[in-house]
Amino acid sequence: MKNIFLFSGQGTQYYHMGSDLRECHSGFDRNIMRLSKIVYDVTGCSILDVVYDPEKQKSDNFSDCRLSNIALLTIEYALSETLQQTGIIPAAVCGMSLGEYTAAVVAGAMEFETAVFLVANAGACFDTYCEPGAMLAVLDDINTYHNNDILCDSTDIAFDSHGKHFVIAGSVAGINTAEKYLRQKNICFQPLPVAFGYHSRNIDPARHAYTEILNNISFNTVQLPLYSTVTTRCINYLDGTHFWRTAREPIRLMEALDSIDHNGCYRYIDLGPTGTMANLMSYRQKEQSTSNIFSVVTPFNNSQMNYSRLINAVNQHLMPFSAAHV
Amino acid sequence: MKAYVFPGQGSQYKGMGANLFAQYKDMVELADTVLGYSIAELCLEDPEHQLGFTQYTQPALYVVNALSYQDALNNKGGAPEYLAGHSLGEYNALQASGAISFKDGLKLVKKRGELMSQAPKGAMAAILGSTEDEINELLQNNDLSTIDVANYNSHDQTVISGLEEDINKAQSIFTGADIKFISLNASGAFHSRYMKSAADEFKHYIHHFNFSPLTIDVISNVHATPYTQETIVENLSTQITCSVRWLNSIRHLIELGVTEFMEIGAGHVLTALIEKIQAHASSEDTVNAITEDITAPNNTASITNDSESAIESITKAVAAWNNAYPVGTKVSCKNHDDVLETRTRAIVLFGRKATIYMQGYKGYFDLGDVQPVIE
Repeated sequence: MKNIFLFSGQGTQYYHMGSDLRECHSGFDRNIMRLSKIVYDVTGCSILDVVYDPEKQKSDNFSDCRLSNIALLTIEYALSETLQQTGIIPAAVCGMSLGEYTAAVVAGAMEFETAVFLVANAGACFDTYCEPGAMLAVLDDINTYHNNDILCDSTDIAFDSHGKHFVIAGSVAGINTAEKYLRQKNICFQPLPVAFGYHSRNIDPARHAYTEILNNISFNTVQLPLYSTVTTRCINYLDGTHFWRTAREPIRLMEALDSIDHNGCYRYIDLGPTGTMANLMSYRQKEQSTSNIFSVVTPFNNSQMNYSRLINAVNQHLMPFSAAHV
Repeated sequence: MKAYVFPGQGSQYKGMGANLFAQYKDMVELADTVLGYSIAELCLEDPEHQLGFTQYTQPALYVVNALSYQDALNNKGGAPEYLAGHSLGEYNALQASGAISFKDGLKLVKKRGELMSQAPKGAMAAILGSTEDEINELLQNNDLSTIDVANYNSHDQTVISGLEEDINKAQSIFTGADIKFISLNASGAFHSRYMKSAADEFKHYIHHFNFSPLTIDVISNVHATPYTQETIVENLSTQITCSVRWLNSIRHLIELGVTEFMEIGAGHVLTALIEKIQAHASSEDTVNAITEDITAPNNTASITNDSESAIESITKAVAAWNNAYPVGTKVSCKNHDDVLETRTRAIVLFGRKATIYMQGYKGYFDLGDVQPVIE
């Protein structure tokens, strides 16, 4: 069975993410240390001090995009290295939004430090050029959005799960308007920990500055199938424009996953810190078995258990007469 | 008490002395007359790419050091209690002490550079993290008594000097013994027996000069004790073939009560060395202080990391690696249990960091954390 590594994006970061796995897995901890040295060299910022700040609670809002972007990239790539060192090698990668940077690094399209440089600069561009923004996960059918002028005028769709929820994004004012409407209609929603309305018009003012930076980067050939949640297809080469699109265009995760399914049978491993993509995957194939979907790090202190489950599954699969799952 | 120290070869860089040449026009004109070319142009623009050749390096450093000393006297709290200079820098120490004039010192340095540039081709390398005894033992046990120690720089940095083939042989022996070995970009085997003919000729030349009384104590490279008026000629001649006892010179100054060292001239190489020696000395005093002393020099080392000389040594380390190890070399890396394989040559990133990439890993490794695995 082939492995596909999934990487989640902005909004899935939180303080102390991965700390339980760091404690029980020295290899993961080493990778975190190595990568944070690189982060320090590139940005001058000690990401360990930020993420593992004892003053912060897990539940505190970690939305400073300059830091949270880098932190997420670091955690995800550290976990990818850790799995690969254990012999769990990806046959393909798929990232959503910011996770596309991690996916591109794992696919060999750029070095880790290039990605750090880019996401740090993206954060700086958003900070400099954009009004504060916000994002909401709305627990309702997508038609609620399409059939309502208030929502359409004040926000953009950032993500459609093709199920019972979608995400909207916009300026703070736009999101306030949307919130007011949703409250009136008794529709549940949940704000995401972000400082800007990614995947919406809210970040357009940063476009010029950030694409200038992106255009100076030359990317390597992609060495693994790289499924993009922007193009929804396997992409063979990257250019700077692509990464602007990952921030601005809606996340088409479901469409991207569809294109993967056509190509073969995978073990899906979510390397983000929340297991969000694994959850979305399991909703998606709820009629079928979800035994091929894994997450490792989550906020619920069960990273070690998840990790063992993954290792067992991989090992079991290697045994000649493995029981054919539950 | 305060000591001024003057750097020697290895500290030069294009652009050194930039703000001094215009201020001290008389000295600069005098230097141009002695040398027959524009010293400011050599130091600041180096249009013919000569600054790295010892016959040019030496006068250039001497002049920049001397201008810096003049500047320190004028602006930075006057004369010190003690002086010392590393190799070529010793001429600046003697000039500062009043024993030789700026002009005579420059003449001597010019001659010294010319003679050393004509010496047979040789090589030099820095060995890190090993004691004097360990190094001598390794050299003796491997029939490399043809190699001399050029500088005892600090507790963990020693420079060796010899014929190119011998230094190459030493490289495989030291790296095989897991000892850090860095080839230096030196044109000759300075401070070794291979400088004998240069030293002999220099001895004839120096006899034409008169020396005035020393007004400030100068610690000599050869003996690591203060110069006496009678030993000036002898010391300067033997210094060309003898080891620079920098570690012991600084220890001696510390014993004499020097607490403040100021590096006068180009770069900060000596500052970094002295900080290490000082830290070592104070850790010898109290066992309790050890942890603090280890962290202190590390912090300062990371600050001086950005100095021009540090950048130069990084460039050298990268070149040395690439000379010795092709892409695909099996290596062990700090904090990694497995043997990894390089996938690139070593490169300098961000203009100040020696790095290299490994198969299977995105993101660079610190070259300092990487050791080749000898199979």
